[in-house]
Amino acid sequence: MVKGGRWVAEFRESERNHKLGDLTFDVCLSGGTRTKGLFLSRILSYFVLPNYQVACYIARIPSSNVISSDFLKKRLMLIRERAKEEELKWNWLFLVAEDEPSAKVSKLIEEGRGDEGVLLYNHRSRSLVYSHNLLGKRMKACLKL
Amino acid sequence: MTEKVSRIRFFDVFKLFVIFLAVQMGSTLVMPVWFYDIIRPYFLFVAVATSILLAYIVYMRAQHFELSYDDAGFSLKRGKTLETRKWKEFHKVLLVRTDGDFLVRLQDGESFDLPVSKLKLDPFSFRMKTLGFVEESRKGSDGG
Repeated sequence: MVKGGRWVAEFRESERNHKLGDLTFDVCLSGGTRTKGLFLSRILSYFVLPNYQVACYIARIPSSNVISSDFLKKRLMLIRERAKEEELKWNWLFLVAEDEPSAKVSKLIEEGRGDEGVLLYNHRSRSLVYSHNLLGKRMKACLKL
Repeated sequence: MTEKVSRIRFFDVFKLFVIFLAVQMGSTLVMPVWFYDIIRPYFLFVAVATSILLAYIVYMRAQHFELSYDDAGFSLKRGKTLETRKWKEFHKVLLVRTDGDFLVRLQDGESFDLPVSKLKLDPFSFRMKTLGFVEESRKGSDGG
């Protein structure tokens, strides 16, 4: 929410221990695609940028081995339901682990089928695996980790 | 133990000072010349002194924030208006960024904003502190 890398969205709210269904995410960021700022920036963003509501769910996981197709499916289903209820157009699931993901896990994330961006960040080696869809690529390009 | 945060935002006092000074300077344009000639030797001193005084009074009466909090609840005073709430009245703590300012938003149906930037508190650590108070008070009230 402060400084950071290039612009991906304007996150305005952050909540710790965010509950979604029976799951708890460590952080949930929400906001929109229209930037605020001074007069000219506002006019520019009003005419140029789409008015999408966005959310990013961040969760720390004990190990990347817990990631399976069911693991992702459950989380993405809940995220999709919330997105439908609150008209959130762009959604990201950001997982943070301490170990290197296996080739199988990396493939699972990279081949993410939905529209949601899925990212797995290895906190120790600072490597990032991301879904090769629009939102995954966009977040990858904007992050400065 | 109750903690109290009451920090003067000097830039806001300065903005009011500039407004009051500009109004007084502007008033010389519509003054009769004979009257202006009488007050001219003292005008700048009086204008600056009264602007500082008025800016401080208006700021303290309308814009100054004072927050007192302990484990049970908090009181937020803005100018002369005082609101007292308990942490257990809320269940959600959000950190919200508005135009350049951070707020800690407490929610439970209705929402209440604590203007952390205006209180010159670190928004991230104060959010964690608030979250701790809210979770502890809810545990206490659920258990009792």
